[in-house]
Amino acid sequence: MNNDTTINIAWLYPDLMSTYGDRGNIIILTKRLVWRGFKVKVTEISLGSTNNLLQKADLIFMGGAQDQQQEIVSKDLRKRQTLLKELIDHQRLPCLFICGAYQFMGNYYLSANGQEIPGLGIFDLYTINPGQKAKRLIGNTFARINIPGLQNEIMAGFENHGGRTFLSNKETAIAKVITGYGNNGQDNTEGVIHQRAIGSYLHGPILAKSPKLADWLLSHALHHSFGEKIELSPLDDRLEERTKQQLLGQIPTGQKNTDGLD
Amino acid sequence: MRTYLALFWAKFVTFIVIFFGLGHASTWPGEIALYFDKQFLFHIVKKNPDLKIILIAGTNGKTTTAKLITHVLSELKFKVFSNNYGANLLNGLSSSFISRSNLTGRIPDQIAVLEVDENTLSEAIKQLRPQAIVLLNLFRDQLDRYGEINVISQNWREALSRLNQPITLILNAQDAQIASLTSQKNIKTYFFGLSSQYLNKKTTSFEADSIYCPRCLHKLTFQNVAYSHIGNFECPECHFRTPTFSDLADGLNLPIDGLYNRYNYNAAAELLRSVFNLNKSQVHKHLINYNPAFGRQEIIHALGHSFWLQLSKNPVGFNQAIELLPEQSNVLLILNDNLPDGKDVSWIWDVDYEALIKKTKYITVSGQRAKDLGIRIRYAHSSIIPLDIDLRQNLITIGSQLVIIDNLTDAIHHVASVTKTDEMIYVLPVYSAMLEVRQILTGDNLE
Repeated sequence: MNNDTTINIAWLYPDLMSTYGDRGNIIILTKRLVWRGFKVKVTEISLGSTNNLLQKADLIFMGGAQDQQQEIVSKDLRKRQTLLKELIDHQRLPCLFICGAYQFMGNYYLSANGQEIPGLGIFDLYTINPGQKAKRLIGNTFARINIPGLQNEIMAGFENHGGRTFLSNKETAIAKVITGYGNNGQDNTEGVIHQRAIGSYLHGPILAKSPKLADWLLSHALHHSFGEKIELSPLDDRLEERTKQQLLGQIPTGQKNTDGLD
Repeated sequence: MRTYLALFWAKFVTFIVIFFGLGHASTWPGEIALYFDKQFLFHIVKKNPDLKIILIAGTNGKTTTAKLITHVLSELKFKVFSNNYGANLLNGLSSSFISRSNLTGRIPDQIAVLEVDENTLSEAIKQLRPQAIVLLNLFRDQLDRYGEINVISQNWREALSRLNQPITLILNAQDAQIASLTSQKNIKTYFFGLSSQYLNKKTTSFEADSIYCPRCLHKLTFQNVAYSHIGNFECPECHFRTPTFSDLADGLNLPIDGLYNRYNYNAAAELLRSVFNLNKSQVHKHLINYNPAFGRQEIIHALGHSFWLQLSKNPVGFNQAIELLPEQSNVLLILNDNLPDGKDVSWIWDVDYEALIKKTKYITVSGQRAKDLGIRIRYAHSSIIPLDIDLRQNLITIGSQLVIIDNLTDAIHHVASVTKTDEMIYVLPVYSAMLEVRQILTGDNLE
């Protein structure tokens, strides 16, 4: 806890883990604070950055990437394992991990050629890549959020992943899939909520059409920064709501998305 | 026999499509030929052993580079054909051969200049056995369809290494991923690039992809940058660096604007120099009266206005288009998510709309995913901009600068009504939207 009035957002590996427009999440989080009169500082953390920078964070974000980039990140990330575990499990820091970053936080990733790549073991889950022959899970996704206070909210985005993620029974999915694949295309779960850290497969970016989820993360970041609960003034999110309604109208509920090309 | 059957039915369909005004037959005939003969391209090329084939691939600039080459070769009185209307998958390539051949498969032309889709290049190389290949660049584009650019370049590398005939390879020296596609036997390699006077940026931009060494995965250092990750690079670890290149546009005024077109011009010029022995001034002389390809800085006069069209289908292309806009311009942006555009519209968050809103007087947003784009542009502002939703007109106004109109015809008429007749309307559409705009403005139907 500190009395500094600037909200610190730590952005992990922006030069390596920011494909698929994931940087939009940083734009959205920043603007939703600035529009309400808060000061924000985004600190970019990449290969070789000190862990001091990460320690000052009120919120952590990390996006998805291509396989080659993930290979580069993997070694560096391991040096931050203990700190990240402390921040997430004990300080209950709000975090958002998308796609490749989400997989990294799990126990392990079983690659297409059967190699087991250990994760950071912060989320109790694992990911299996069934190989090049199995189809990638690609398409628009809508899912009903399962966080207290946000139960009727629908999050929307675009998923594009080969790996199938399975949660242990100690973990809770962040949402239930309405249309799309989610974690594995089998059990209708999408993402994970672990303390205040969120893992999700949704690009889009996820927060673009899920502003309530952005505000949920931000209210916890404010709490962390100011040391007390601070009310967020409402913003006019009707455009996001209409966009979601229009897209949901186009995609019949309960039907698997078959739009993506493999 | 299969090839003749394929040709016959494909020709028949071409006739029907054109006779009944159903379009330009740029993909259907090829689809039918491939149904009868999967190796159709291989077989038709074998029947035309004297036909020289030049392939052009890369994320951005294929159509323009192909058209530049074709323009010069036509002026030199070569008989040339290419795949018109950018149909660059196997069906489009096949269609272009069908339209040029007679029923026995003979083609009267000397040269084929063909642009090829990133994921089709390997198969095209195998079947067409080209004399030359021009590789322009690799940027993030439709990740749902194309996948990752490292995977694409790996496929290209493998396709090149399987070649057993001598060919000429023209590579962009300032895209690390492209410049690394060398060291294959039988290949004469030439590099193009821009001299440092055109590289005004010190660092790569946020949408850059290839900033790590394609050989050893260490972070590259950049001496100077044109845009995205295009620039003079060096790997501090393995010392892989921008190879020596020629800049055949250095100091010249070009018929098309934009740094990215300087690269396209250079790629074309390098091909014309290395394969057809044309020097710098000969190439320039032949390109002075070049007209842009459709939808690429194309100007259409309609509804009493002038519309400037620049296809903007991925972050790098879009950011380059923004740089071309004059101050205080009036723009129409169109975002669709049809198959040729990609179903994933996440890419708009890698576009610098923060720069766009500073340069524009008024922005109209349209297309199937217009609202997604509206959300993105609203977030480009440093203060919250009030919304006004008019359900009856199906019109959403965001402040005084931005309006969202889903229906494209309505949007075009809206832009025309708010623009003075002597002012240009700048249109930045994705691919399917570009075809729609052209159809609304000119009545031209491209299937």
